[in-house]
Amino acid sequence: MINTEIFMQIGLDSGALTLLGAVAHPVHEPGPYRGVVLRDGEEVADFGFVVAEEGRTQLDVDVAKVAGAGRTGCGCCTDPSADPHLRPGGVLLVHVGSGRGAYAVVVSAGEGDARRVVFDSRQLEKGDLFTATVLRPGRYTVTNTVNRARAELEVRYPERRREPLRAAEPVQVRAGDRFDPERLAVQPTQGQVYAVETSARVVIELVEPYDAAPVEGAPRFRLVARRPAE
Amino acid sequence: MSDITLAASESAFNTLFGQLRDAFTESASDSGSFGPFTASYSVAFHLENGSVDLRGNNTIKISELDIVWDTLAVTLGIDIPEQCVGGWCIIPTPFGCALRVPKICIFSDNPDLLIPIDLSGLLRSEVSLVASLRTGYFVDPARQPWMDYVDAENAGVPNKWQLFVDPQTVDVDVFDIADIVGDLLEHAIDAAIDTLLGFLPGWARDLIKSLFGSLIDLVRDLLDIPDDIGEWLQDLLGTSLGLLNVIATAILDYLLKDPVWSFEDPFPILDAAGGLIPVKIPVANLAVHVTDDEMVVEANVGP
Repeated sequence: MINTEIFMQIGLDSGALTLLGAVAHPVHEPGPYRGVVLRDGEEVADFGFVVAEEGRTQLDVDVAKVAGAGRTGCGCCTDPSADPHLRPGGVLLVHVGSGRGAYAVVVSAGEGDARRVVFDSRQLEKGDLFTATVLRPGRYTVTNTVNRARAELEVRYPERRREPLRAAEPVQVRAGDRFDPERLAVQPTQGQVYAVETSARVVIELVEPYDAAPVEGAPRFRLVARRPAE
Repeated sequence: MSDITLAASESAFNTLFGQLRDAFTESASDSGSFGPFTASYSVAFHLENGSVDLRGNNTIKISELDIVWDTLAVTLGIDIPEQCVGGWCIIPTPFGCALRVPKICIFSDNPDLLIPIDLSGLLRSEVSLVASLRTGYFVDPARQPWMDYVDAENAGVPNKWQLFVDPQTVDVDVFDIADIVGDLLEHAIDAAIDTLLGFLPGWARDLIKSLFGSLIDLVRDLLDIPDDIGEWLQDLLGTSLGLLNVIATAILDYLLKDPVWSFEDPFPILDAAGGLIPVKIPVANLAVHVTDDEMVVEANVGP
């Protein structure tokens, strides 16, 4: 069976996570945590984890799997075989393992009345990471919808070579008042890591698809139309 | 001393054998599993050319009898290996990766890829054989006990003397596969991948193919094919799938079953005419031998 879903995934949004996107949030304070999974804005499931010294450095949460399990009221709906313990300073990594839903996660620390929101994937904060893998070749815009910073991303058309395509090292992008760098060019399957330095929701949108490998030396024409500033 | 002696020159015997050769056709199919892959073939072939040499040691040698492949379709089946995206390191450290994105795989299992290759026209092979000649006497099973030779002739079921080519050795020559087979295999793999991924957009197919790299190299690795693809295919078809045996057995069975020459017994001398029954003479003790120049058939007249 071929996983067709990953080829339907065009563009990514850190605030509405889909396949091939992930957000990472470092968690420093020990104690119990509860995460609520939202799909298309609706709460669909929750999960729990504990930050403690014996925990590990990375806790992966597949929100599609959690949402598939639904709300059980137990506060812990991740894969039961997974150890829900994270070391202080470890990283909670939220991703979508399957399906076409768009997800967000809100994580609270503490219990009862003392519970407070420490992470909302719909708006990332300094120290968070957004990772993206864009497969569909083309030209994209990358926008921080919080401060309107923009960057350009080009995903090159895959070349047929004798050696199998190996993803190059992921590109590192600082998402602060502006994106740095503001122009990115990657291979399909090559990762992008957006290191958040100010409040951010990173949206990657397709502007111009590439449907064939560019012919060497052939002239390219582009028409860019912008609405006049009001 | 025989009553009748009949001789055929080498040229005449070539004509007789040509008729036998031209009536031969065979088709077969088989498949096998060879660890990392499966293979099957479907073949149909006939014979052409060949020369007959009569030899003084009472044998004949038939050389360079071409096997002409009307169909030679080979299908290779492999499990293509999983391909995944993601899994790369977000935060590398001198001590290893501190944070890694999960992998998402393109295939949920290892799907079968069937690679059909049409080798007809690309493969040359020939047969040589050494044989003696032998006689046989055929009584048609449809002939009823009450029939005399006139009834049997009228019913189309007369007894017959037959002359067979009786192979002692059959040598199927190793296939000679044209060099182009490497390109053919590569195109076949490409087409098979396109068929498998046909429902995906072109860019997605190109992406998956780029993840595979050279498809021919991939298949070579999976199937452990050496540099010479032709030789590998020869071995696969001829030995592993037993096609050499199929060819040899088919030709043997055919020659043992179908005579190179036959005639009615009793042998017609005069056709029926003027209300008279045909005149025939019974033939007995038919024997055959071969010299350097001729095939000699001897027989007696009598019951």
